[in-house]
Amino acid sequence: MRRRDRGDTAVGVLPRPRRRDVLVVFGCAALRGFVALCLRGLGAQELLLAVLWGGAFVPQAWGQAQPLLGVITYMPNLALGLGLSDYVSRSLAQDASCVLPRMGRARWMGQRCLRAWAAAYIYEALSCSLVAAVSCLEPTVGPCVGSLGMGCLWTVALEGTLLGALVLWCNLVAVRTDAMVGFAAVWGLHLGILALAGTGSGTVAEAPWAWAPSCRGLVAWHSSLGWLWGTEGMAGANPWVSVLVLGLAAACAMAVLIRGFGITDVM
Amino acid sequence: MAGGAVRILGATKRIRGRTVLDDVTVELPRGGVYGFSGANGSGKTMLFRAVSGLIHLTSGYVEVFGQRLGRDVDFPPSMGLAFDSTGFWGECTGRQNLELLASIRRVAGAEEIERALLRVGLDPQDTRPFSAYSLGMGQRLLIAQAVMESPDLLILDEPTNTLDVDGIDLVLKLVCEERARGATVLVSCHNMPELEALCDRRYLMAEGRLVGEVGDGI
Repeated sequence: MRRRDRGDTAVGVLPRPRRRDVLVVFGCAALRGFVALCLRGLGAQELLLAVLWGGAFVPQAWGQAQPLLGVITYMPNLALGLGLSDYVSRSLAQDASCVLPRMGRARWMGQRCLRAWAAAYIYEALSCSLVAAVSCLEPTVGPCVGSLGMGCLWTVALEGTLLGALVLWCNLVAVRTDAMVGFAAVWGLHLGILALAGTGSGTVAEAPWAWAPSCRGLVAWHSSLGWLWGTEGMAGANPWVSVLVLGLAAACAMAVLIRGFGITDVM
Repeated sequence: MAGGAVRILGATKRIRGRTVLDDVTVELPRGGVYGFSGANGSGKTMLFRAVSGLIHLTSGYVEVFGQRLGRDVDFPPSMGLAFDSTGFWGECTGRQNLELLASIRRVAGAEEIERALLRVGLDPQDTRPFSAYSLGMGQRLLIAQAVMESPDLLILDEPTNTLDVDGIDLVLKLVCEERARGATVLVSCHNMPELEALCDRRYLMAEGRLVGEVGDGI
């Protein structure tokens, strides 16, 4: 192996992920596929709407809100959020003596944050593929999935970025308090805003909460499919801007984590 | 012993109103073995955490090889640290664990890894995963990862914990070899007469304070 300058501590990359973190990501993706399998009787389009895009929460999609279906279909996302809510603090306890001093604080935290974000994207890509595969078992799948086109990619981009931001904000709260507190605070706020946005009389894009990062993915995704008839100019309708806003929300959490870790004691 | 390895000046650390390090001042020359004794909770581990850069002092500072921690560097640039063994990958063998850690800085190669394992009495060809290791084997692996990159500063917190007689002999030999190589070794050696005998200087700690040097009227 090539020898590096002994005086430079800020070198290297994190070794391979821990088995538990890999299991959380793959397990939650499999759970989403399993939920889709159990609900495949709904029909291909309804399945995609319910499992992949949380349509059961939106009264306009089903005629009325389907809270139980919504909670069931949102379980895999919540499980992922809970499983990764203590990712940074748990990694810190494991890496304190052997990995952290070999890397330096900023580099370690930066790479941990990027891994947490990447985990959200991997989950999203995997689970979307599984749900799409399950929906292909239905005879009506052709026009449904085929018509979505770029919408499938936007789903991964928007929800992956949103999940990544949520995971990072969870971890930010968790390193200062506790994993459960971080999970409850961040996901409670997120779902609360979504629920508020869904209870209005018009579309989500018309709600006063449409600017909030939690609603960004929802509105922009509808827009990317051309489902925001006449409301394209409304807050959050441009998917590119929404990905950027969600990315910025994640970057803010990352910056605070890296800066805060510089003055944090590792016990 | 030319030049200072570790310089601690007025190191004080308070955690939730409790003083765990109280105005510790000491200078340790390069290339020696320095032992720290004291009862549980006397501040030995906290002092080691301060010297290794894991905690930030409330007041005072630590300099390692002329670089101030927290200002010039996060961690001492060439340091081997043995605190606890929670950081290993349970599904990997001992050798694979060291390879993963060595891949971060790329200072140690396959030869150094094998040598480090042999020095602590572990078989480099052992195919058992770390999760199947006994506590003593885990402790040996922890010490192996600390020495594999031939660090200039070696910090061993209770290195003989959970080790059998053979393991303790290997650690004593290893500490001697590291001193002969020119490394500066900081070791907590409470109730370990054999380890205490190896130390060039031994300090006594109590209630977060450095009471003094053993043999210097103590």
